[in-house]
Amino acid sequence: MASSLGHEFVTMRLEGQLLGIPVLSVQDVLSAQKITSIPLAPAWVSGVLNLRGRIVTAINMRERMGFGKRTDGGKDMSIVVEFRGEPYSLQIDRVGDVLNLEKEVMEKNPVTMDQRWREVSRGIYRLDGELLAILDVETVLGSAESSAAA
Amino acid sequence: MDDLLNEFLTETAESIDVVDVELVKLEQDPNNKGVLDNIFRLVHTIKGTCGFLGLPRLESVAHASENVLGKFRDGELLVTPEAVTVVLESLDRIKEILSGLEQTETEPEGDDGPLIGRLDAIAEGKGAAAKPPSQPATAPEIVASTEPDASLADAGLDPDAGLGRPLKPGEVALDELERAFMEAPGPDDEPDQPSAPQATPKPMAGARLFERAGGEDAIAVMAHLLANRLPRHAKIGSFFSVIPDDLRKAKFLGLLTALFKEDESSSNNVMASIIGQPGFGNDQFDVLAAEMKAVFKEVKLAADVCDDAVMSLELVRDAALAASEKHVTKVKASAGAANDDHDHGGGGSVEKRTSQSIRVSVDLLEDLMNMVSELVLTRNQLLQMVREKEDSEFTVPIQRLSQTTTELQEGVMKTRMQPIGNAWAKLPRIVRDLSMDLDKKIELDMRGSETELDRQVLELIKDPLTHMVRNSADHGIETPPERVAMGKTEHGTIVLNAYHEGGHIIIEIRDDGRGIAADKIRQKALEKGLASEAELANMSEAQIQKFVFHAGFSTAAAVTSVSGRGVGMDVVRTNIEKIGGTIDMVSVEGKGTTFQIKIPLTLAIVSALIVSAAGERFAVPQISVLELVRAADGSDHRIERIKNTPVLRLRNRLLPLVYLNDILGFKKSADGASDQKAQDADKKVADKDAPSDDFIIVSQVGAFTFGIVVDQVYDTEEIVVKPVAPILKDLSIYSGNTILGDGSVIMILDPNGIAERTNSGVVQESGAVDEKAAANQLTIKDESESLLLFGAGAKSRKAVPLPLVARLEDIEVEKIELSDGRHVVQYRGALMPIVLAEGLSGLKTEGRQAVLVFTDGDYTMGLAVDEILDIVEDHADIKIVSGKPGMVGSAIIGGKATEVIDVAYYLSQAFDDWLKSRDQNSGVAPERGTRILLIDDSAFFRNMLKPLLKVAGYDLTCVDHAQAAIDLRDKGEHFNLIISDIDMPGMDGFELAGILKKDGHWAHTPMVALSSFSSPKHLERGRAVGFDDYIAKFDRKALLECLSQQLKLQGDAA
Repeated sequence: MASSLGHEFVTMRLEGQLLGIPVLSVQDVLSAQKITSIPLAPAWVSGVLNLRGRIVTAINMRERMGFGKRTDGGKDMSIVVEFRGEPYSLQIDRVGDVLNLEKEVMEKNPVTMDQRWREVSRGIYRLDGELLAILDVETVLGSAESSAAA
Repeated sequence: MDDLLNEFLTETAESIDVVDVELVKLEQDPNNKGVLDNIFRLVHTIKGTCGFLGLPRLESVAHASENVLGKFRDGELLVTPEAVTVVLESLDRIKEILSGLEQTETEPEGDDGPLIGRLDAIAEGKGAAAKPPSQPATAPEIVASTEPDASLADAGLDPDAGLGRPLKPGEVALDELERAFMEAPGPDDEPDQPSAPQATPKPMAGARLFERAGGEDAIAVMAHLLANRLPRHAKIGSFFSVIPDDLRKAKFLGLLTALFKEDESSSNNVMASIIGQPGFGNDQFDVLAAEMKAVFKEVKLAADVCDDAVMSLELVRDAALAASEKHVTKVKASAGAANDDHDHGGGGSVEKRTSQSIRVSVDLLEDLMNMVSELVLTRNQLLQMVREKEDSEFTVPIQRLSQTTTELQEGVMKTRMQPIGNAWAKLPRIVRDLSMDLDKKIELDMRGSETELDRQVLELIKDPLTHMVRNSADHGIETPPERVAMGKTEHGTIVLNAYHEGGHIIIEIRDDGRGIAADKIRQKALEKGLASEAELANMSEAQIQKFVFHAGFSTAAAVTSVSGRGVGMDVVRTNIEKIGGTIDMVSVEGKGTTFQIKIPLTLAIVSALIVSAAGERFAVPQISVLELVRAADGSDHRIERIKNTPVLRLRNRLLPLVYLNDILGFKKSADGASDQKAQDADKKVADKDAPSDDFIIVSQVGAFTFGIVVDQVYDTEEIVVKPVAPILKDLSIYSGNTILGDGSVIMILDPNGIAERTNSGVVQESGAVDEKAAANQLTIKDESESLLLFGAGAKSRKAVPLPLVARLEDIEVEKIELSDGRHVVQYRGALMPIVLAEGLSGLKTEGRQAVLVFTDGDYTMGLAVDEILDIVEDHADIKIVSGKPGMVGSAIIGGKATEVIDVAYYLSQAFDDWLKSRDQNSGVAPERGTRILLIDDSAFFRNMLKPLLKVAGYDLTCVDHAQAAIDLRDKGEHFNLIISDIDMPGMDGFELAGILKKDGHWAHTPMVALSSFSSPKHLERGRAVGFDDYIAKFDRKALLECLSQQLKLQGDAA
């Protein structure tokens, strides 16, 4: 069971692209939230939000992953993850299903992939009709942190 | 890590810290038995526990130093600085090993041979008489003496019954702990575990009273009982209840120990210190004796032991009575006694702190604190909801919940409070070592060490404090010869003083050393380029001394290994400011230096002001807010600008302002229509009458006071400060974030960060600004006006009355276009003509052009100048009337000859229809003292005419509405001529003329109408109501001609 959980991923959409993160690292999935913006913060920080009394820092995944502004007028959803003891909310377009990919094999990132993507993607799953990139939450937030420090 | 080991580590670390301090105390006062006992006991415990846990290295070091201490204790060795140094060294070694243990859970490798050798040498060196091997004989005896043990066991359980009330958890812990303390090492004691207190090998026939009574443990129990019971005693309770619990127990422990050891002088001393009040006579002493006897019986002391003890108690009767007596005769002696108490209590209270409390992990407390914080927030939310509904059934329970929450919050906050003494614990040792190294004599006087503050704050100030004390010792205090030469005592003193003051803790660090030499600082500041010579010359000594807090000010190249004073003071300042504190310094050369640190009690829950900028809400901690000023046009305070720099005149100073909008990067530009606020801000300066206002938060960072302009101020709220996510930690303008009562998250602003962002170099400048402002203030006299000084053309200084200037702009040269042969710029959706100031050869070719903007009605023009110099308050007393166009004349402003420009001239240049040129230039000089009354509602116009008419030699009085003129008439004022505007709110010019001409003593005073309406119809009406002449506004020459004509006419008629 434990091993199968390790192969379960919460999927999400960002500009049509399917992304996944391990289900175990997801703490919460939220619909559109009131986000307080933080002036002077880096562009990929959307702001902070209140999750049941905890202050969660919202990460603008579009900005982080190099997509432009959202054009379809929809409201962002949040996936809350914890990184070094702090809660972060990944702002994405839409949350998809939870997939169990025990039988599938994760493939390496194609070398030609965008540098920014290669850093944060752990690998690629071939699904029916499309590809699923697995996000490495540690790197998404970790490298964000180091770039903030720089 | 193993729980047991963990426990051991924390406990031992604490004990070592205590021993550190106690040893220094002992060195100063070698005969203080209480201190020595305490040290000995702690070291002994460490050693015993090490053996128990199987830590050979630690044990051997502890053992060797215990040996030395044992010799001290038995009087076989003198307490010498050398010996103490070696013992301290052994403590350092123990600490080292402990830290190794903490990291690896095993003892680090190392050779303690030499250290142990030195310790042994000291132990052997002088104390040949008592050799360690002589002890084995006595030790088993103690372990074997079952009788006291039995009594102890009974006694240990007894107190519950004896006290007649349930014991508090801590009290049980005392007895248990003390027993555990003494018993745990017992079985593991090596045979030569020699110097356990009871084994003092004084050659004595038979067991002494001390041993017979059951040794230290039994005595501790008795002391505990007495200390608890006596304050509640009906007759003599009041004598004891005044002494704090901890201290009382320590004292009784001392008293009993001394009594049973038949150490008369010690008992006398302790007894005297216990009786701290007048009125303790023979009767009271008898009651005390009876009480003590009862306790002795209770712990099942043998009858003969009991009798002996009572006998020795009798011996201190006189001391007790005398002590009480002393208080009657000499109240002042209490100071001395208090000091005495302190010395005695020091060790005791430390001991108590460890034994009368339970150990709770910091994590648990933090969790509790967090949960309470959440509770507070939820409570706030509920309160807000209930407030919105009237007569809710929830009101009462929520009130109650609210109250309980508040109390809970306070309670939990208290658990985080620690006495500041904890942060000071290492200082005596540091000062001692420093004084040894530097060959100085330094006394460290620590006061108010029981003052409590949040442990988080405590942690943060520990290092700055240590640093400052080190500095004081190293660089403040002189060497003994120097001190003597200065006529001071050989001993330098460093005083640490902590106390509460209005939600803050004040910590003072004062030394009586050489103080800070302003000259050296001045030189250094100059070298480092922190200030120019001229700036320094204007600074007071205190301001110069404050350079030590400056970031760039490090005298690293200086003297000793610790280098010059001032090293790291900027770090100290930064650290203190980080926790919302402030630091100040007063230093008198030759007399000493005093630092004062002011820090908040706690960081967790603070009161904050909720403000907004660009529609976003932010919190500003109240502690950072000195005051709140509302600046509105027409009110006492308004925002002025010096070359685009907004400032506020606040009482006697000029306050630099920053716009929160700017700081936060909300766009603020002249053309940005998207930003309402920015436009508002500009408009405010433009239209003096626009009803808008700003809120200014006056804040202080170090010595730098500044104002933060915000759009709106809402409310104050208790907020729970939560740190920002690590990825945002570089945003220094936020000190945290929080959740408000309505559930929304807001950012907490950090004024330090704002100040930093505004101008990193400003901190030291504020003083200079102060003085300047003060100097300006001095020159302000009744009739002075604000003048804007600017430069245009070579060497000439020009001025214009500030009220005439609408705005000061810096316009990019590229934006200035040429149209119809003149310079224009697109300005707020219209074209604004730019006129060159007289003397200016041309516009700048690149960069930005400084422009003064003048506005009246629909007319807006820009006057291009070289640079804007200053705003001053002075008389615009025209000394020389100028014939040059565009110039009113020359005046002395700010001590220099300055040309006052004629705005009307430039307006006429810009707008043809605005002022028609005329050739005539007759104008007869009026007689001296010709009084003219000007009635005009436009401030601009009044300000424009004032210099003009003054220059022409008239004595001008201005009023801004018609009724004021009538009032003047009714007061009997006399004028030679009246100039009135026509179009005025309320009573207009026609009506006024009608009234004035009808009757009264002004009926024959000539009246001149000024109006922009110059149609024939208006002229006719004007004449009909009694105006003698009618002149178009802004026609300067026509006005002057008309005036002289009218006055002449009048003169002729008269």
